[in-house]
Amino acid sequence: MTTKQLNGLVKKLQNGNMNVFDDIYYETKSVVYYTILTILKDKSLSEDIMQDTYLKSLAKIHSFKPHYSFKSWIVTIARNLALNEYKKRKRELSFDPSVDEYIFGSTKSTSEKELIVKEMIETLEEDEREIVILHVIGDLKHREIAEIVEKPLGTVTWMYNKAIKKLKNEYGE
Amino acid sequence: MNKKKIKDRMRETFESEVPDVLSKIKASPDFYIPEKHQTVFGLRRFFNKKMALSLMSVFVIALIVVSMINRNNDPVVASTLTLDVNPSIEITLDEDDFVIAVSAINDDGDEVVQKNIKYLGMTLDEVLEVLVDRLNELGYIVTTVDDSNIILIEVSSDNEVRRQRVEELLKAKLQTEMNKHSNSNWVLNSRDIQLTEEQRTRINQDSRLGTYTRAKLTLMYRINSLDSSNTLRELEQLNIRQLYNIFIELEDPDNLPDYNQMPGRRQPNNYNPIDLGNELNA
Repeated sequence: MTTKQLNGLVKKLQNGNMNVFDDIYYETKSVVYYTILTILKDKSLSEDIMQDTYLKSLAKIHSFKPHYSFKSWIVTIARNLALNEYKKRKRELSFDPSVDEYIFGSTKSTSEKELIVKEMIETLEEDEREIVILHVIGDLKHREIAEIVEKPLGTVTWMYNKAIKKLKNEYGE
Repeated sequence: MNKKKIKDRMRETFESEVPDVLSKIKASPDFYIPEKHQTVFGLRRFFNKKMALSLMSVFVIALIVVSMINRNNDPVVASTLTLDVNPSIEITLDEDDFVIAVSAINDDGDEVVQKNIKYLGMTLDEVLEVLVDRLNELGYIVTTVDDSNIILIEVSSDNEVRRQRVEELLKAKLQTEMNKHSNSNWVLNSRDIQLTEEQRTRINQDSRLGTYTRAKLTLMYRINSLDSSNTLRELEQLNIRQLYNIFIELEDPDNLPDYNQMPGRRQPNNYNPIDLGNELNA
């Protein structure tokens, strides 16, 4: 779905048509989920924040401007909520998301694909993960990513290329 | 494997592993679209951060412009000071001690205050430098070793702190400027001359106040009170140095804290102050 098509659905949602919500959700859920997971590194917690992200986007739907990309907008909401949760957890518990065991929770991964995702994510550094996910999963342009992660466009492009090179070396057959 | 293949593989793998929370979202009591407030023109919406900052900037700029216009167009006199060397000059200052105007009180003063000089906005230091140079140029400053220049000053202001500050500045700068031209000089502050309340009231009502400075009248009234044979009518004909010579002869040394440093103070024998005054101002 193109940005224009997605924004068209959002326009309908703004006008009160709740039927389009499912399409919007399925179009954006991957990038929203992985954006949160990259920050929190906890599957179950990420699901909760994912839920909050959609509810918050509904509550604020009228503040969305049609000239903006909806994906960028909802990713910004997801990112902010995840960062808030991260800070809250860090204050309250000895929560250390930098420890890799937290990725996908403490339970052992069984799915083969899940293991691949885990490996792929672990190959990359923090910043690289976020940029790769936003570009590959979210289909966001480097310019949009630069705005979200508050980094210069050149840095984002450079980091993305570096990350893809790493993945190519790791998984290139 | 090229970039596109890696991207496709990642996308396919990642997307299949995303949990579905749609049913949970729909089950939430917050799953609804709030009403859009289109017509309400809320102040809060209007006065956002940017707007508030812009308004504040405009307000500050307006304030600066207004204060500059006021300062240029209608400066408020915060203090007035007079100098009597024999030319009598009045200087008015604003609250930041910048000159508002310099005006002559007597004919000699007219010579000193030059029309082609823009005194407005000068500092006290600058205006005194200009005036003392002019006094010297016109020969009002005595440069001989056996004579002293007497400068009678008075500073008035509604604010006592400001008055004291300006007075100190004036005395210090006058002495510096005078030292450049003369070997001996004395700045006499009219406030050091003792008068009764009744005499002060009489000075305020004296019609000569427009012709002479209050400081000169103060000196005349004091001499008259010390020796009534010196009538005000006679005294007004004398210049500052002549008045000073009479004053220093008649005044009780205890009334003058700096008596020992003051030039021309009482001599032990056969000393005629009027003669000395005539000599000095010849």
